[in-house]
Amino acid sequence: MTTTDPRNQDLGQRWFRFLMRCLTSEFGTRYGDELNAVFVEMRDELGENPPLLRLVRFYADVTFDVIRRARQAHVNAARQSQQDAITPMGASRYWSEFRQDFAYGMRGFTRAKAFAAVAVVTLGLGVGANAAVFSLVNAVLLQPLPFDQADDLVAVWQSDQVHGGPIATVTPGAFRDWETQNEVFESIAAGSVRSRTVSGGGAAPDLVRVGWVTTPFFDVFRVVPVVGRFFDPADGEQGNDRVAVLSHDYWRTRFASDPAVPGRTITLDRVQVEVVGVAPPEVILPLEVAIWVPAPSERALWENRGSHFLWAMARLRSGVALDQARANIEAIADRALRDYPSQHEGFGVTINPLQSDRVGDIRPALLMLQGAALVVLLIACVNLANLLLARSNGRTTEFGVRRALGAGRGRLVRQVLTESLLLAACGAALGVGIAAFASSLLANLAPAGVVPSGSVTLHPTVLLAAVLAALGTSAAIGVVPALRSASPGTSTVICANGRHATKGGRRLRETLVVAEVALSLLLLVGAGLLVRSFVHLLNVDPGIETQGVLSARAVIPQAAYSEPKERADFFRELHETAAQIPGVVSAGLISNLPVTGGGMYEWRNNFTRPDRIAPNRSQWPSAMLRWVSPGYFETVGLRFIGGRSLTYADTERSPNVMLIDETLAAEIFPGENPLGQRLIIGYNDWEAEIVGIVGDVRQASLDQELQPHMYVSFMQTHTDMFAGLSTTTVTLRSNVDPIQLAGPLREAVLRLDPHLPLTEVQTLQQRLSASVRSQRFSMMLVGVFAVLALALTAVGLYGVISYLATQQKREFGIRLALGALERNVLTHVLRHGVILTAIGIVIGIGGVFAASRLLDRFLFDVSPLDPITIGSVCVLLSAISMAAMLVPARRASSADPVDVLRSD
Amino acid sequence: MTLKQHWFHILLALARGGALGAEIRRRVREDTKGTVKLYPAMLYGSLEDLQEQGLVQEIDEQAGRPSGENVRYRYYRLTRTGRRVLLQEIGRLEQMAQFARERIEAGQTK
Repeated sequence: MTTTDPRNQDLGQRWFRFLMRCLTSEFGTRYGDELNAVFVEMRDELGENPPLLRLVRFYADVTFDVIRRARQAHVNAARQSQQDAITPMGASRYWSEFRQDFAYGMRGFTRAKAFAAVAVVTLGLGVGANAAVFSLVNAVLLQPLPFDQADDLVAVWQSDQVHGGPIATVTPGAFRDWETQNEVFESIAAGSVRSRTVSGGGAAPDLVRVGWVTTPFFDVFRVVPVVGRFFDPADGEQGNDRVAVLSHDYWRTRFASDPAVPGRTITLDRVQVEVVGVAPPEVILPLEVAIWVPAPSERALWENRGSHFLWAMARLRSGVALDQARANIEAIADRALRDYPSQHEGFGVTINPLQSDRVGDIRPALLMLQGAALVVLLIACVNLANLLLARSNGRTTEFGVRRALGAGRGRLVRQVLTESLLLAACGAALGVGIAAFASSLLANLAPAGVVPSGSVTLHPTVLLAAVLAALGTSAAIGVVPALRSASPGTSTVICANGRHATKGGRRLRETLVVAEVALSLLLLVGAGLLVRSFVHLLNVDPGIETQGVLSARAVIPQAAYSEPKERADFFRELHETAAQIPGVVSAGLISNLPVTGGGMYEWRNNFTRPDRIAPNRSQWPSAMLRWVSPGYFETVGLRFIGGRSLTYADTERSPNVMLIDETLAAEIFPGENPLGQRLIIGYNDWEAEIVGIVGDVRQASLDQELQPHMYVSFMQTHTDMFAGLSTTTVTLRSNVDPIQLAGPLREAVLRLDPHLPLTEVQTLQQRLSASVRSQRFSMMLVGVFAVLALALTAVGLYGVISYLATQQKREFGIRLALGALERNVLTHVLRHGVILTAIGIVIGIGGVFAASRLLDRFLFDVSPLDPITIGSVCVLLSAISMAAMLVPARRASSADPVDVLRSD
Repeated sequence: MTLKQHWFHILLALARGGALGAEIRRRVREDTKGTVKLYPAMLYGSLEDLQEQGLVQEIDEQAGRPSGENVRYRYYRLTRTGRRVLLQEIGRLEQMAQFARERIEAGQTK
C-alpha cells in the first residue's frame, strides 16, 4: 500500500515525512509507516482532482494534527525528564533539552530583536566577507593547477641582470641548450604567442592568439587530446608544419564542439593548416591561446642567441628538487656564457614553480585582502562577545532564580551555549548568502587574466569552513558569559537585583572594546593609505592627453605583406584613411601604445653614442624603441620640448632621423643639446640623427618608473627591427565622443583589407582606467572592510557605554538628586569611553608600525607611516566613537533622579 | 472518567472487533458520517494513550490476530477494561441525555 522508499514519494508525502520530524523520535520510528499509510489513504479519499480549497484545508489540518501531537509529546517528555533528573543523561534527554533551550532561545531573541539582529548581521558580514575573499584566494592560490603531478611543473626564464628584471624571455639558443643538456627535466617546451588572423568559412576574420610551441608542449602537462592527436616530433619539420591544435574554448565557440574537426582545414594568416586535435579545457597556458601550431625546427632559428622572445615550461623528473634543477640550469648557462660571452653576458636564470609564476604579483595583494577580511571577522567576533556578555549581564537575575529553583550549573551553561549556536547558525546562513553574492561580484571586479574564468565558486569546503568558523567563534565566545553567568552565588545575585555586575566582566568588556578600536584603526589606516596611494597614482601624468582619443590594434599578416615595402605602404594607407574619417582631428600609428598595462619586463633595445662606443654591447645603455607615423605625437598630445616632429618627407631616401624623450636626453646628454647629435641602435647598427625631443610617457603602467624612449619613423625602419613591423595601434583624436569613431574606423579598415580584424578598440581613457584596475580593486575592497570595521566598532562602543551607564544608573540618580549637573554626569560617562578609545588608538598605531613593512609594497608614493593618513584616521575614529557614546551618555545624564531611585 | 470524543469513537470502532489503525479510522468515518476526522498523528497518538490507560491492546498472531492482514502494521483490540469504560461512558451519556431532555421539557411546561 505504501512505501518508505523516499524515491517513490510525491511532494505531499515528503511534506508529511518532514512534518513527522517534529514528533519525538520514539513516536516517529514506531508509527512512521503507519502514519504515512493513513495519510495517503486520507488524501486519496479526497478524489482525483479535489478543489483547491479542500486540498489546502486538508494539508492545514494534517499539519496542525502533527504539531498538536508533537507538542503534547514534548511536554510529556519534558515532564518525564524532570522526574529522572537525578539519573544520568541519555542522548535523548540531551536532545530534548537542546530543543527546550532552542525554543527558549528563539523566544528570547524575539523579545530582544535588536540584539539578535545586530549579532546575526555582525557575524554574517564577518563570515560572508571571509568566505567571499577566500573563494578568490582558493581559486587563484590554493587550487593546484589541474594537471597530473602539477607540483613538478616549473617555468624557466632568463634573468636580465643588467636592467634588474628577474624575468626575461628566453632566446632560442639558450632554450636549445637547456633542452639538450639538462639532467633534471622529464620534458621541456618553449613557445611564443602571436596574434594571427583566422579567416574563411564565411565568417568575419577573427584575430586570435596563436601559441607557437615546440612539439613536447602537451607532454609537459601530461594531458590527452579531447579528440584527434597532439603534435608529433615530426610536425616541426619543413613540410609537416601546417598542422594546428585547437583550444577547448575555441573548438566550442567556433566549431560548436564538432568531434569531426580533426582533418578540417583553417586559414591562418591566409595559409591553410590542418586541424589535428583539440586540447582539454584545463590547458589555458599561456593565457587565452586559441590555437597552437608547432614551432619550426630550422637550425638557424634555434641558433639565435640575441632575440629574447620565448617562454619555457618544464616538468621536473620525479624526485628532483627545485634547487637541484636551478643548479643544473645555471651550470648550463655558465657554459653558454663561456662559449658565447657577448650574447650571454648579463643574463642569469630564473626557475619558478609554475603555480607561483602564474600568480605572480597578485599573491601578496590577495593575502592582504584575506588578512583584512580576517580582521573584520575578528572585530565581528569581538563585537559578538561584547553583545553576549552584555546580554548575560542583563540576565544575571534570571540565572540566579533558575539556579535557586534547582537548575544545575552545567544545565545553564548548556543553555547559553545553545543560544550562541543559534545565533551562529543564523549568522552563518546570512554569511553564506552574502558570500554567494560577493564572490561573484569579486570575480567580476578582479583584474583580468588573474582569475581563471568560472573558477571562483563557493566551494563546499569554503562554505563548510565559513560555517564552522561562525559556529566555533560563537561557541568559544558563548562559553565565557555562560561560565560567568552560572558562577555567582545564588542568593547574592537575587538580592542584588542584577545591579552588581562582576568586576571581571566589566574588565573583559573594556578589553574587548580596546581590541576593537585597535583593529579597526589598523584597517582604517590600511584603507586610507590605499586610497591616498590610488589618488597619487591617478595624479601621475601619463605623459599623454587621454581625453578624446580612440585607439585600436591591428595586426597585419606577414604572409600577405611579405615585402617590407608593402607593409610600409599599407601602414601609410591605413594612416591616411584613418585621418580622413569625418570627425577625426588627427591620426597616428605607433607600434606599442603607452600605459596599456602590458610589458612589465618589456625588452629594451641597446644603443650608443657614436663617440662613446663601449667594447661590450651588453654595457651599452638601453631604451624602449617605438616606431611611429607622422601625426602620432600630435594625436596623443605628447609634449614637444624641442626640435621637430616626423613627417612623410622622412623616407628611406632621406637621412635617418629619430626623436628621444626627456629621460633619455638627461641620461645620455647631460648638460648638452641633444638636437643634431647622433645615436646608433644596437640592432643592425642603424644610425640616426636626433631631430626632436618629446616629453616622457609611462610605458607599462602608471606606477612604473619612467623609461627612456626612442621614436623612429616606420617609413625608415622597415627592417626586421620590429619583428616584421606587423603590429600597430591606430590612434584617432576627435572633437566628438571618440567611441563614436569606432564603427567608421572598422569600416575604413575593412575597405582597405577585408581580411584584417581590428581589436582592442578602446578610448585612451578606458585603457588608462583599466591599467589601474588591480589597485582600484584592492582599494575598494579594503575600503569596504574598513567601513564595516568602523561600523562594528561604533556598535561595540555604543553597547559598552550604554551598559556602563545602566550599571551606574543608581549612582547617577543619587548624584543628580544631590545637585550634580547633567554636564558632570555626561562627562563622567564620556570620560570612560574616551579613555578606552585612546588606549585602543595607541595600540592600533603600534600595530600600524608593526605592519608597515607588509603594507609598503602595495603603496605608491605614500609612506606606510604617512602622518596625514594616521592622523585623520585617529580623528575619524575618535569622532565616530564619541558619537556612539553620546547617545547612552545623554540618556544617563538626562534621567529623572526620582524615577531612577524609585525604580529600585 | 470522561472520554475524549475521539477516544470514544476509537473504542466504539474496536468494539466491533480488532482492527488495524487504518481500519479503525475508516470505521470511525463511517460511524460519524465523516464528521469526526482522525488525522494520522491524532489516531496513533490516541491509540498509544489508550494503550497506556489499558483500554486498548496491541496483539500478535498468537494472541488471536487474524492472519492475512499486513503484518508490518499493528493490530489493536479492545481490552476488557476498555469495554467496561466504553459501556460506562455510554451509560453516562444516556444519563446526561435523559437529564438534559427532562430539563428542557420541564422548562417548556413551565
